[in-house]
Amino acid sequence: MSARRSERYIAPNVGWVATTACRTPPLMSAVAPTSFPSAGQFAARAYDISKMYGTALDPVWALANVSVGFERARFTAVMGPSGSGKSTLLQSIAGLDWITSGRIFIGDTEIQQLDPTAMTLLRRERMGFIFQSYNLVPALTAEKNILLPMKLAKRQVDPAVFDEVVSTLGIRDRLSHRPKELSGGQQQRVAVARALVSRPELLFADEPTGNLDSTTAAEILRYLRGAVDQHGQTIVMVTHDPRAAAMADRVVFLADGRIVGDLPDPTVDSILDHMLLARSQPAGTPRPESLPDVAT
Amino acid sequence: MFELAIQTIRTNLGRLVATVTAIVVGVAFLSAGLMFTDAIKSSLGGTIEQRYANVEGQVKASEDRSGPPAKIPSTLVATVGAVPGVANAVGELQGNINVFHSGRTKPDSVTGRRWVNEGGVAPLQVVEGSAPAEPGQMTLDRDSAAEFNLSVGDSVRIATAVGEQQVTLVGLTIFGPESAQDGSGTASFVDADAFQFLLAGTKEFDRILLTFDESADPATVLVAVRAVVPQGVVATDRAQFIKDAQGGAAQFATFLQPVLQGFGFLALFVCGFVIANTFAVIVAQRTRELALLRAIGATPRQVRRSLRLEALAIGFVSSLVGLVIGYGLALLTVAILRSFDIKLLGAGARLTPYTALWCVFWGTFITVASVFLASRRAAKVAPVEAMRSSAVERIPKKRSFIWLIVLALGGVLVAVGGFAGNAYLIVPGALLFVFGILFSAPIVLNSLARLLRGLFRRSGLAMRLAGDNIERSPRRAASTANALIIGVLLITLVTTAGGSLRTALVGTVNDLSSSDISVLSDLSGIQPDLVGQIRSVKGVGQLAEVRSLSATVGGTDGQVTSGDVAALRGTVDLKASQGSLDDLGPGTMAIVDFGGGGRNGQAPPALGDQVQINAPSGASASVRVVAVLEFSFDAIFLSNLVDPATFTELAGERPATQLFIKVDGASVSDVTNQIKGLTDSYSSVNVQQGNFVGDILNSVLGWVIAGVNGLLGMSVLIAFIGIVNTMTLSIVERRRELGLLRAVGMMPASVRSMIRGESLIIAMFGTLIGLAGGAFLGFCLTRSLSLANDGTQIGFSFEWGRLAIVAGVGVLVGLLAAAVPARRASRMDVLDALAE
Repeated sequence: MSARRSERYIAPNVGWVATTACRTPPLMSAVAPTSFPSAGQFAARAYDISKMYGTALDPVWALANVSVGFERARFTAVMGPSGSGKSTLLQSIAGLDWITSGRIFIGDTEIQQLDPTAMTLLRRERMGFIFQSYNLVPALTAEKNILLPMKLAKRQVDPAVFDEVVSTLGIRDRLSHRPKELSGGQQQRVAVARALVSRPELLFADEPTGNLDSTTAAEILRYLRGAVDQHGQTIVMVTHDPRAAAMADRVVFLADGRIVGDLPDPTVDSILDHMLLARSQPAGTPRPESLPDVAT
Repeated sequence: MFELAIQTIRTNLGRLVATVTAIVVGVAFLSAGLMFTDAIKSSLGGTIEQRYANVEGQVKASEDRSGPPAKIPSTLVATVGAVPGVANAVGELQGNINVFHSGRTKPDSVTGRRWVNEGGVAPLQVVEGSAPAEPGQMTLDRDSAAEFNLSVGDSVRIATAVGEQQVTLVGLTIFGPESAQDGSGTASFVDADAFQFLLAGTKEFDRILLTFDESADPATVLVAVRAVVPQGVVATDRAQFIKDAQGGAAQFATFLQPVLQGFGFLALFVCGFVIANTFAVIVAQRTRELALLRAIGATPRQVRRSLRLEALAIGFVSSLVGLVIGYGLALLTVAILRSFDIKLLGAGARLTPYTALWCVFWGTFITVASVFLASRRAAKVAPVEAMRSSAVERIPKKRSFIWLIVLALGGVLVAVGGFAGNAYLIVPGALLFVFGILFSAPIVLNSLARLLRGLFRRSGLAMRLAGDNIERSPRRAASTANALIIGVLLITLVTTAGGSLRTALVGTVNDLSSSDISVLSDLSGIQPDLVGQIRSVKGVGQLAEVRSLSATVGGTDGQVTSGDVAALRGTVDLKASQGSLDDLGPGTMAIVDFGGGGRNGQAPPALGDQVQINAPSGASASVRVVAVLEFSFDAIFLSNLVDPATFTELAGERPATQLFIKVDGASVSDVTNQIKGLTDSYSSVNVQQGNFVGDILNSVLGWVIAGVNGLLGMSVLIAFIGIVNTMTLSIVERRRELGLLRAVGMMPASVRSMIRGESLIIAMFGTLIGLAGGAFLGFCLTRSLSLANDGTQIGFSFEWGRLAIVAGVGVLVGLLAAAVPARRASRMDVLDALAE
């Protein structure tokens, strides 16, 4: 498996350096680059984004000057301890949540420029979402849930794609059931089907396997892996499970709202090593030289 | 999107019960009023058109006069019948008779009619037996006969204008598809009996129906008829005849319709609060679902639309159900009225396409409009909420303070209006005041909850938590209370202001009547032997007989009356403002000062004027005005009082139409009852205690106030549904929290009292604010009217008893509304709740 991934992962990391670890107050150092490279191989990019809660006098930084890019047709995992800002990063880049400063691009579109409706249109044209729980509209059957984004976008679903997704995920006999009548794993499969059926360029998953047993979780992750390998979709997944992250092509580590590590071609062992290392460092101390420079 | 809306409604039906109930009740109420009044309005319309198909016009007495509707001499039939173009002239006569039957001790009232079947005019058809052919025979409408358990051939005892009579029932009649032509039932007699029983022998008609020659032009013929009828008699076309024939019920319904509609809309308005509240809660509960929709690609507009679609579907379906229930409600009203022996002609339910559209439109519109705010809030749900647990409700303090200012401003305007006697300030002030109350309720309730928490400190954790819960979502609690505030405020306003006005009016009216007992009859009069019997009742001191006649006085239609001046003075407190009653003798007349400028633009005669009186019979007299009497209720019946000799010249011998009695050495009510016993056999005679106008006014206003309050009670009912709704929704929403409380050791009983506490706070808040606001508005309104109405002081009567009942109902509403939610909350499965 690792070998297969390595084959696909030939190109050296060229282009734009994604991470800065900044310990000065972000607002003061938030000098955005004057010109941005075009999307290139990145499906989504964030430049110097910060997100502040609380008041100006007593700020709480959920994200502090984070810059990161996610390449097309790759599976990136975002890891970090609770409260490290990993979900916030995902939500901000997906345009689900506001940020205090910085710039975010989906492809070549800067999302801060968009009004809510335009943002929604962008989202439904190009993105899919899978959450940890509460993925489905309780009133609708599994089939209706899967087709809902297409209906909202008034797009025709490709029956071939629908068939393929439904059989791959093995939920054909569950289509007429409502979420309440489905097990947690089945619900999550329906959610994956919904995210895949419109073949979005970018798929965001927030702890998609957090509530599932390991067998079911592994299956779900295999489907996501397949989406990247077979259809060239881009996946960004937040997780705290090293086994889940090991399915990815790359792991980005967050702590205290900052990127503290970037691991290509992860394995469960390398992830655990990285996490142990990170834990031994007090928050805010400089990154050890031994960690690879996080670049994409 | 529509499918999503429908599916959401289907899975969340439980949460929508209150909304649906509120709309159903509101629409049912609105539509029942319309269907009920429509039925009366259209009653018999078609049947009359059909049964009087060839009637082209009518001749009747002018209605432009005081006193009971006048009749016209039967001799006029020949006069108008001779007009070229008139084919037939048919006299119609109707009056009240009472039928005794085995079913009851008291006789039932039916309308007696002259049997008409001539010149192609035959409104009634005989379905069994035969038409009355000679005196002593009667027909009765089929349903009344069945109701009274009478069949053809039976001998029937009836009370008539000339006392009790025995007649034979010879036939049963129908009126087109209906049984009776009149609301209470229809009986018919031959001419001689009709005149005797209905008019005590006077040969007069209510109206003369006209049919025209086929070749004649109706308008031309009518002009010719108008030329031959005497003054005080008019000829009208067919349209007016149909309107007249439908009678007072239709006019009553026309008046009642907008009133009932007003209350219907008030009920719907209150529904709006319940709906708005439900959807506010639903949106809060569904935050994650809505956020999910946003995250997977629903635009804010689509989210907004999906909620409005839900509202549209709920509103539409509930309105349809409301319409059906409304139909039942209208029929129920008829049944209730009937059980009180109130028979309204054509009473029933009539559903017109207009009513259906109108009610469904408003029910749906109110629902969609009420969801407006909630749907806007739903559209603002950030997609990221899909990944968070729900947030705490924030109160926008600034806006609430603005409404507090509005409230204060309204209060000041109302108070200034009240104390300066300026009613123009009151209306806008009251509007500001009410909206101020409704919109500042969250902030007031918030402070109240804080205050109560202090008070509840000693009364245990449950009550303290109840206060905290209110404080946590003050806006929702406030809009729940608002529905109650509206109802209670209006009830208090009507009760206090209405009660004050009633007391003032009744007092004023009682000052205007002075005789102890009056005996009234229609124009058929009180038979002389009955007068004799009344005179001999123990306790009757002075008795004055008054006769009256419809006549033209000084060119204006009116009444001429006559009575013994000495007897009148002994029974009625008559004061002459000009001249003196002593001067009343042959050739003179006393008039009553009604105030104002007379009728038909003609100035009333003045003292010393010579006035021409023309009786319908053709007799005339010229009299001089020698006295002007002060206005009083007794004096109304003595307008154009002439001496007996002059009256006899004009009218011939006539029985008295009114007796004034002064009671001597006995209780007034005893004497009244004794006289009533004597007059029972006379259908046309009524006995009233002296202050009867005041009594009638008192009870009519009492009924009006009670009726209005009953209708307003509908809004309290809806408010009650609202509280049940809010409490139920809030415990559904707080399942985890309640589960947690139980898990850490709260007893089910404490959970129950916590829920009850919350509900009570909301109900008491609504009731007290409503009471205080209503009493304040009522007080200021009464004061301003009192000042504007120069002279008459209207004391403010704060009816403690009734308002205490309102307050009690408020508390009860709170307790009852909490019952089911509290039980549900305390029975909830702890593990289940925590697992969610």
